[in-house]
Amino acid sequence: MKAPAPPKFNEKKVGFFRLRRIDGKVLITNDIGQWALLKPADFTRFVEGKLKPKEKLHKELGEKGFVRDYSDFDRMVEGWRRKNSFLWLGPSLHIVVVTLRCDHKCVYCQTSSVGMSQTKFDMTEETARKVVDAIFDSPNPAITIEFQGGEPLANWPVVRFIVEYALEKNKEKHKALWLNLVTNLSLMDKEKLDFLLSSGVNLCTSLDGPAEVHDANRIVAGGGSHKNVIGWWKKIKKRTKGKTFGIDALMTTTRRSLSHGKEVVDEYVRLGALGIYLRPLSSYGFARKTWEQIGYSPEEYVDFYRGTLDYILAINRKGHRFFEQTARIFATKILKNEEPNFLDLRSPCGAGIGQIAYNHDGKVYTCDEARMLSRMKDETFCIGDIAKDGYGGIVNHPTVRALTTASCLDAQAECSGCAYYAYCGSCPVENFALQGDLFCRSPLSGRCRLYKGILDYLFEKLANPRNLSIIKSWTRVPQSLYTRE
Amino acid sequence: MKLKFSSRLYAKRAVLDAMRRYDRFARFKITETPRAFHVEISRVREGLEDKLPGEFSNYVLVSTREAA
Repeated sequence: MKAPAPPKFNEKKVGFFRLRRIDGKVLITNDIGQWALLKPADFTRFVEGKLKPKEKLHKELGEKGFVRDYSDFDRMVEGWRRKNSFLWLGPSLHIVVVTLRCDHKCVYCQTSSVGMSQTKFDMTEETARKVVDAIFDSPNPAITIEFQGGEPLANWPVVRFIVEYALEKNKEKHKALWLNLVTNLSLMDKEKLDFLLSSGVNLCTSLDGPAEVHDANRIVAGGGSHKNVIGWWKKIKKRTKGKTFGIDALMTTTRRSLSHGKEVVDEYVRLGALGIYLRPLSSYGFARKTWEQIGYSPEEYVDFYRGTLDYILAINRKGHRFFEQTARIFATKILKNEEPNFLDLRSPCGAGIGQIAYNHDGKVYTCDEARMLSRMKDETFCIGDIAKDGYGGIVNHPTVRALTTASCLDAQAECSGCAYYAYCGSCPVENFALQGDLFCRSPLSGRCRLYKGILDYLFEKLANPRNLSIIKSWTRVPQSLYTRE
Repeated sequence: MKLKFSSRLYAKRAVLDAMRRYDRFARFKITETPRAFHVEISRVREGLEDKLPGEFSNYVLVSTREAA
């Protein structure tokens, strides 16, 4: 059978667009993140410039900047400028690794922690002071200090010092300051919690689902950690009800999780969480044998994601509002045309210009991924030492410049033509670790296949008005608050 | 003033090329360690002290990409 002739492109009437076929329709998107899902016949009429000015579709596409002679360029420029305003602000997320010590032996944490007796991997108070001084040199008016490890509570004196010193310093600097502690909660006690909550510190823990899944992933001496996490979760939720800070949770997906999507969601619903953040594993840093046990292909993850998202939408249709965070991040870009500033899905990415990671020994990295790579003896993305380099030297380091350029999607051969250009982001550190080049080779990138799969499904869902309404409601929950009441 | 270019991200040829292109504006000295090229910049032409390191680094970056 002879294939139909492609539509003749009318360059005088049609504005710039990228396209992708979604479930029998044609998705068109443009640089400013506007989009439309067209029936094939309408797409042909659009491309050939045959839409009539009185038509509803012509008006819609004109307002979205797809019709050349109806485009409001001033409004489009203003939208682009607002969406990319982060470019002028400086790093907002400052990850402080106060220790590499941890009492857990999680199946997906291969190289980033050491045993509890190795106190030489603790940050000193002297280093911590210099880190906080550098953080407050960032011109960004909103700063988040995130404690990570290892298990940060293993170096409690330095966590406490940084909280007190940052709050004191902020009396002069007047920044919007967020303090966030990422903890497995195993070393939590009443005294620590009293201090953290009285200082307004938000807590973020790991919860991989019900005990059978969580305890298989997150192994601790004496058994699983699920019971302890749930106990503290309930206490903290109770004590922070109505407050602007509280406790969030992150879920990491392993091979075992793939067949437990519903049970994982049910666990979060049972605990009164407002949503869940389904997160895939990244394959770098794993020995082949370990990856075969806990890893999976991007396609397997996308299957899991589609099934779990369907289940979450079904919960919403029954009247219980509960969101999925990856969908919410994308929906904020797609439906509100706003940048939620999620640093991994930004162009350029956050490395060195949106986030900085400070290691226990004072070494500074462009991001946490870069810091993790250093645990594999690769110091390519180390951009300074807090003992001798100031803020200016760190953010102006040539490595930051290289990562910023390499993560601009405009500079990526395939990304610049992808329909998801306005919503996606590249991770040059991951590209470098897996492909030996900062610039992404998309056809070989698992991350690319994974996000394309998620976005394909999300646009399929957005074509249904009821799903659209549900997903839109998720974007109204503040981004920094996704499991709190 | 010192700039450190990771030898895994930047090409030595690009650093040397930039040094030649910018030698009207400052004096450059390159040293090499296993993982990096260290460029010491001195005697920067008056008025260019703030701009020169950034512009120089941009040139090295573009030149590296072109060489790839």
